Amino acid sequence: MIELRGVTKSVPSGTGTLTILHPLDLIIRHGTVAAVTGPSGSGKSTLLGLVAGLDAPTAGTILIDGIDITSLGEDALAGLRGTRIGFVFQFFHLLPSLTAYENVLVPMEIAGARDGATRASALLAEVGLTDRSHHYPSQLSGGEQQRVAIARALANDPPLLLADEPTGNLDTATGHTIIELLLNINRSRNTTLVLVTHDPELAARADISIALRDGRVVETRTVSRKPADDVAAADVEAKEGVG
Amino acid sequence: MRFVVRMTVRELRASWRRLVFFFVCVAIGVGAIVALRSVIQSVRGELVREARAMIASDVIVSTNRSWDPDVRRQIEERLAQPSVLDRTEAIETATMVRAAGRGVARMVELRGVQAAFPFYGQIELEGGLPYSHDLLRDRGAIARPELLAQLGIKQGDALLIGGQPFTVRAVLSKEPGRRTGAFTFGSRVFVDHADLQRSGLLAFGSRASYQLLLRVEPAGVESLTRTLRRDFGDRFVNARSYRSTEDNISEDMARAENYLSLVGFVIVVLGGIGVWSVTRVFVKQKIRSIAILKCLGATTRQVLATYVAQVLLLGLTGSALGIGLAAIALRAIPDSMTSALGGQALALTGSAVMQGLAVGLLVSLLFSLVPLLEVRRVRPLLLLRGGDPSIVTVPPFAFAQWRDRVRAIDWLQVSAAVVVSAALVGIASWQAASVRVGLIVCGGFAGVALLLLGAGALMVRAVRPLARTRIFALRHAVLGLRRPGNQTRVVLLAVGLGTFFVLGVRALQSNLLDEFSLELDRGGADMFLIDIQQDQVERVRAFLADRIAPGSAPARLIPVLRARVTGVRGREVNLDNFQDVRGRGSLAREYVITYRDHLEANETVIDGEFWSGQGVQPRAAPELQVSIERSIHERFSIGVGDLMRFDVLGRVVQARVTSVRDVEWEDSRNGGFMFVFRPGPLSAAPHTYIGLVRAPDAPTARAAMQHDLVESFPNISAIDVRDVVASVQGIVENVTLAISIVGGIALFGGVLILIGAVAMTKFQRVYEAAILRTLGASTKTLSAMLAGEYTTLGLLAGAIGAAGALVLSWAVCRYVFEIDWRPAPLLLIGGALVTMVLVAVIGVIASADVLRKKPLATLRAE
Amino acid sequence: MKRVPLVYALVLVALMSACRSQARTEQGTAAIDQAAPVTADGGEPARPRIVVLGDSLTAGYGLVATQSYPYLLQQRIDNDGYRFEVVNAGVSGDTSAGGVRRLDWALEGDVKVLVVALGGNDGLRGLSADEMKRNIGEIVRRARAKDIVVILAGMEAPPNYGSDYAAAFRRAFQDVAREHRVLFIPFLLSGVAANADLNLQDGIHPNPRGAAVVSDTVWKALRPVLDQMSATQ
Repeated sequence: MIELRGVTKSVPSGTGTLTILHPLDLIIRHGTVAAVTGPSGSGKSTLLGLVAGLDAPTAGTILIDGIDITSLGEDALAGLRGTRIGFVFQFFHLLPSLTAYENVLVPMEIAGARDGATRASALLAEVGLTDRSHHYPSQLSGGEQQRVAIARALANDPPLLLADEPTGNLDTATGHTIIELLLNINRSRNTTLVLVTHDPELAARADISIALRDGRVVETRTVSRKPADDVAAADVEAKEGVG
Repeated sequence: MRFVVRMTVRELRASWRRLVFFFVCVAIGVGAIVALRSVIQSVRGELVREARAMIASDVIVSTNRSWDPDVRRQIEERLAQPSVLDRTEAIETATMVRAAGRGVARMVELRGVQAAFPFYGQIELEGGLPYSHDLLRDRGAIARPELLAQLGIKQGDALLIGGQPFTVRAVLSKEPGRRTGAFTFGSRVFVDHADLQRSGLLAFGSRASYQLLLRVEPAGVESLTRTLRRDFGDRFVNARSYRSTEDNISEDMARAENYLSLVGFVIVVLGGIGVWSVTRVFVKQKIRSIAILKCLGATTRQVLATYVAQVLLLGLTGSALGIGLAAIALRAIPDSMTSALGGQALALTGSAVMQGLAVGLLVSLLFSLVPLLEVRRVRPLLLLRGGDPSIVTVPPFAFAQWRDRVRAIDWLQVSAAVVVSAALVGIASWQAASVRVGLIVCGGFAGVALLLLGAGALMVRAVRPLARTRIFALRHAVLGLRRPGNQTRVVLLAVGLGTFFVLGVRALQSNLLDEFSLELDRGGADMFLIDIQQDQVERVRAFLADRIAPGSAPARLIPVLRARVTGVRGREVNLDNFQDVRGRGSLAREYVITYRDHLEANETVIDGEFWSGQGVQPRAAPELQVSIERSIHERFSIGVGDLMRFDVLGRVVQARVTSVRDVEWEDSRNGGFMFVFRPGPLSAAPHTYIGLVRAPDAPTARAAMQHDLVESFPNISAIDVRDVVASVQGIVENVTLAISIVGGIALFGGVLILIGAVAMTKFQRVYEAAILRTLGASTKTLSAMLAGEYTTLGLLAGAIGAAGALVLSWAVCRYVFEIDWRPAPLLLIGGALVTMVLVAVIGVIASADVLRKKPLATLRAE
Repeated sequence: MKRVPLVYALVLVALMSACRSQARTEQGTAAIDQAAPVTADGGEPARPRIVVLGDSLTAGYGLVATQSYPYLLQQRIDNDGYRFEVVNAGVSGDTSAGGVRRLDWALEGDVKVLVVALGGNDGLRGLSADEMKRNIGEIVRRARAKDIVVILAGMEAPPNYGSDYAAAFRRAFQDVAREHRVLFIPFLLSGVAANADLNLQDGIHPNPRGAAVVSDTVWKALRPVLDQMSATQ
């Protein structure tokens, strides 16, 4: 479960401070698919970075599975990312000098996992790339690269998957495949999935959708995709920021 | 750890093709350092060997009186220290020798030596006979062929020395330790030390030099010489080492050493620049991977370890490759050149290899560890923006106040930079050996670097208007220069500093070689005739005309007179007027003067007018005209228009100063005179002539010439300086050659390093070129764009580097070499232009593959 | 500075192209440290002259003019009330052969006495003693022809030249003195040569104290001549 309490982000600018994210409270329960939407510069990526511990909030706390990540040191954060968070980027960001297989293997090696080899093969099989596992990223198409990235994100079987415009750099058909893949993962592994996206199709299929504009939440929408599920879809509360 | 190793292996494996280029660039930098340092060490070794051979020992202690027992005992006490390894005694004295049974006596310069002589150098004998002291034992002698010819005897015959028969057991062709003696009238004869002592020649009143030759630990030479000199100088004991800079050959050697230090220092800096340009690009390319790894949960330590390991491996492999290149390069130097260095094959030296490795690793580390440490601070958040990975490290404090900036300083990063820099400075100082050289070069480095940065900023501003041009290539060339994070600064710094050093070294080399060439006048005089009387001049001239060395200039006969200055400006020269000259020589001393109607090549008039072309002065002129040397002008405040009185052989002569000359004493093959008179009246005064002659090279011809000379003109003495001139020339030639070799390697290495540094910048151009390509720019347009950009950079860097080189060569000539400085305008202008062309060509060629490649491949790879 | 002969300074000039540092010696730092007035010239009515024809020993090599023995002789002459002018015709490096050639120049004016103090350089250069004998004989003969009283000062060759040469050298002076019946000082440097206290560092040229001893030596021979001349004037 992800819980944001009064999270604010501002950065110094020429004359004063620029507030990228106004105070925000947000809870995303385990197994939920959450889509964050909004125009460029609305604070989507900032929000994602804060959740991943890649950036620290100016104020407020962020809890992941009850752990306050804002109080963690860099190495603890790295450990958290390695084992509990998977990343999927718009530009794939595979390591260019490693093969697909090795890219998947890296997080497990970092975490010191023992069964990395078999797991990496299994994950590549899961995204349908067994026969391309020894290719370098430059030899793969965009869709293939993104599938490798997804396999890599799943390497340590994280409970949370963060995806930054995962289809933004792909054609519609390929994007569609990637969406299906991500949703499948959410379903089959009960992984929490937080997506930043422009893609209305993807937003529409999320459990909750959070629309940002100028660092404020302007709309939240809960989709009862799994009515039988007793888990509350979302509990979102936006407050007006102080600026 | 396993992760670190695996990552390193994988990354290196995947990108080895690109890495090869990196390796080669690092290798060239390191290779240049190693090769040059090796050569320098060989050259130094040879210089020291030759310097030692010139006095046949490390230190020579001598007195021109027989050893005072008290002084001798004190010296012995002083020499009883472990740094004095060995010692031998020698005596030198002039004497008359005759062939047994025949009348003609000839003066010779006897040297009595013991078995250990010489410590350095070799006595070479004719016919390839090896020298051994046994040849001298029991009244043996070794004599010069000229002497044997003059006396009409041959090897095996007897020679009467001090009335006693000595057997000539060998004929001397070359001897070490010639520098110990002043120029002498007699030719050398070696005898045994004990035999000489028993000869009866060394009685009360004899003039002889008693010498102690020492072999001393290198570290102890200077201090021993200094203390001996200090403590016994007033007791008629002189001490000097092979390093004593008492004559020009020592000075030349000191200059050569300084030059070598300088070049060594410079090549370390240049090599460092080369390695820096590689590491910089390498690290830049890895920033994105680092960000990704951080997202994947790698800790800072793991990331740092991975990439520092890679850089170290790059540095290590590149350095190893460089050492290999250096070994090949050294082997490629032709034997004919190395023969000047004592005939030894040039080889890598251990310390050179160590130094090369250390520089390779430290520079890689300095320029990788420090930027990589920044990774700890910068969160890879920007990856999420899908942005350009290179801006991941944009300093987040761009707008912060200075207080915030100070707070934001990463002290670990700073201290890493300090530690690594200190290690580099240490290496450079080790190489420089001379503090003064180091200071000048460091000052030059800082000055030129600042200048380059300033010029870069100015240029970017200056070309801004051009960005509105309609010529696409030019507009983009200008925009390219202004682009943030572009290669402008790198190319300017690397090329500018490189040009500065390469041209500076080159300019120094030409100045130094100019200086040396003065001493390499192969056709110069090697025999001096003194005491030629006026009535003998024409006959001597005729005598010499068909006897001098074929093809050499006719003998020069210079009139010389003796004179004392007795008055200036109507005042008598006395203590009141010239009290300040106390201790610096006196105007009232005896001067050697001459008269002539022209200036010599080594003279320039700095005030007044010389009487060239005005003919002789009438005998009855009330006052003579005299030209004085600058030092007389400066020390005694005598100038043009002053009337001087001279005492010439008891007669008073009045002379008006009509000009002041500057005599270049280093180039005084024609003699240097404080006072030169206009011809005319003085020719009536009795005087003699000295003759400067280039005698034939063949010993027998020389001997015959001297023999005939003495027969025809018994009062004339010939001073044969062929040996001295030849050995000085030999050494100067070797030094010249060594400097040319070192300079050549420095130039070659420097240019290669610069090529590497420029080529490295292509990695920054790739992406942009690909995008422009995608937008429809043709290969031609792109090439023109790149050429324009690189040409501008090359010209600016070359011009600033050349200007810096001008200043550097001036400062080093003036303050380190202490020689006259001549600007080398052609070299510097040419150098700047060549730099420009080179940078443009390399910039375009290095990017050729980008131009050729399909843009998509480039975009994807990035 | 060892074995640097009387001709040292001359050689310096000759050798400058081979040895720059010596050129600097020429340029600067001779061991002389004072400048003072030399023999007065012009002005008062000319006095009869005593010419000292010699080499660097006479010229005062390494000394200032006022320390040379001819100058000291002048002082004695003035102090003792004689009216003679001493002309220092000493030329460093000069040999007997040079002396012959410049005799006429040196003997210009009212010369009454000629002191011949040459031969040092002939010896140091190992020139033929016979040749030297001829030259000095010629000098004496020509001076005599002008009715000039000649005092011949002899030189010795140092022992390192070998006893043969030293003997021949000594004999040359003795022969000239005997053949021409001139006043003879057997050794100009008597009591000075080889005495470290009386010579410069080079061991060859007298220092100021040595020059005073030389002037004593010459004065002993010269004074009777002057007495006689003053008496007959």
